[in-house]
Amino acid sequence: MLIALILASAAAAPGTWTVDSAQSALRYAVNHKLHKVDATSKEAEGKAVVRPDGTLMVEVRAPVASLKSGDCNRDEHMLEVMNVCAHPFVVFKGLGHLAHGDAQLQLQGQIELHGVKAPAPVSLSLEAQPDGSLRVKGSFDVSLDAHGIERPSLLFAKVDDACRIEVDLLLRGPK
Amino acid sequence: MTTSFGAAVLVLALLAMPRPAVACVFLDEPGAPQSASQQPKAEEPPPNAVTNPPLDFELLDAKKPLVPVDDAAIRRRRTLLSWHQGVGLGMFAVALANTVVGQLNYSDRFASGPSTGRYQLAHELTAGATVAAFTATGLLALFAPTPLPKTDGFDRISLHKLATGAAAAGMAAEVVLGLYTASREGYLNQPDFAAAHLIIGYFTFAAITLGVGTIVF
Repeated sequence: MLIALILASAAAAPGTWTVDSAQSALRYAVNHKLHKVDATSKEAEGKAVVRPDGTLMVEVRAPVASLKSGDCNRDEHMLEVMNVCAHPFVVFKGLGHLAHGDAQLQLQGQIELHGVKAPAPVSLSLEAQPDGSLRVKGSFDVSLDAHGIERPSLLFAKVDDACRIEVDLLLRGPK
Repeated sequence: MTTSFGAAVLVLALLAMPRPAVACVFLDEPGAPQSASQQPKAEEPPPNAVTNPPLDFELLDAKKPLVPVDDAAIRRRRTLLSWHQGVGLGMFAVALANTVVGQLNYSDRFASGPSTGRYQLAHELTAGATVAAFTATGLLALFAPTPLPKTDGFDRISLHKLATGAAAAGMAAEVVLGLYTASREGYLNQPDFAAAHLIIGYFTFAAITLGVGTIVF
């Protein structure tokens, strides 16, 4: 119980928390009639600034080129439709409020994809780790059409418009 | 004199009457009393102030793009591979027809009964179309630029290339065997070459099917 209280207190410590890229992952998943496609990036980077009053600012980004599905042709096509030259990153920003002991966090967010910004409210689960870091997980859906992304097709059938984005981040707290 | 005195009193009385405060002067004084009409209206927050706080902060350093790419080459690649997909599917359909007609032709010519040759022309036409479509499909892929770095490892595309490579070898063998078998008309060993041509034909179609299947499924 004492450890839980200590961990809960650590979860809300003011300061700048940094994403541990090696221990974090950003995923996307889209559906096609013949395939379910998902890709993972292990190069996510980000920061979360927690103010003494609990106000939280978050920014996380990942290089589009780092999203790997295990199929190089599909990944190349993804880079083409995402216009990686002009928009090399997918960026998420969010605002929220973090209180002591919170295990869930609601972020009023914005996702920038293909150079287009769109609102992305997201609910995150927080799990304090024994070493004082914080595991953050959550997911939300984005519309490919809303971001001006040409949906890839196979056998003349396009992938679904909905794209699920999942985050699994390890944040290390202020030293 | 009385009138003048009265007028003077009136003027003095008017001058002594309290006047409304001048807003821009008195309101600035601390503690100065204000009438309700003079109190500044409380600024109404923008309608979206609570629901859409600004997200124009930057917590991360600016970074240059990590992948140098040629945008024109990417577009050219996408065009050629789109054509590759369409022509490839058409080639698969023609190859299927050719395999069926080829079997019918072999059965008619060499399996049993008298040879009528009724499938000969159809097989020659479908075989030619298959070779042409296969060549076009392959060239579209070979001439597609590769502006993005390739990822290492064996994946579906690697299997697709292996399968279509085997199909290409089979296709070449089929062209040679087909022409040679046709030239052996009347020779006793023509059925043997025809059988070899048939077997390699099935192998080639299986390789084409695997190549298409790795992409579609």
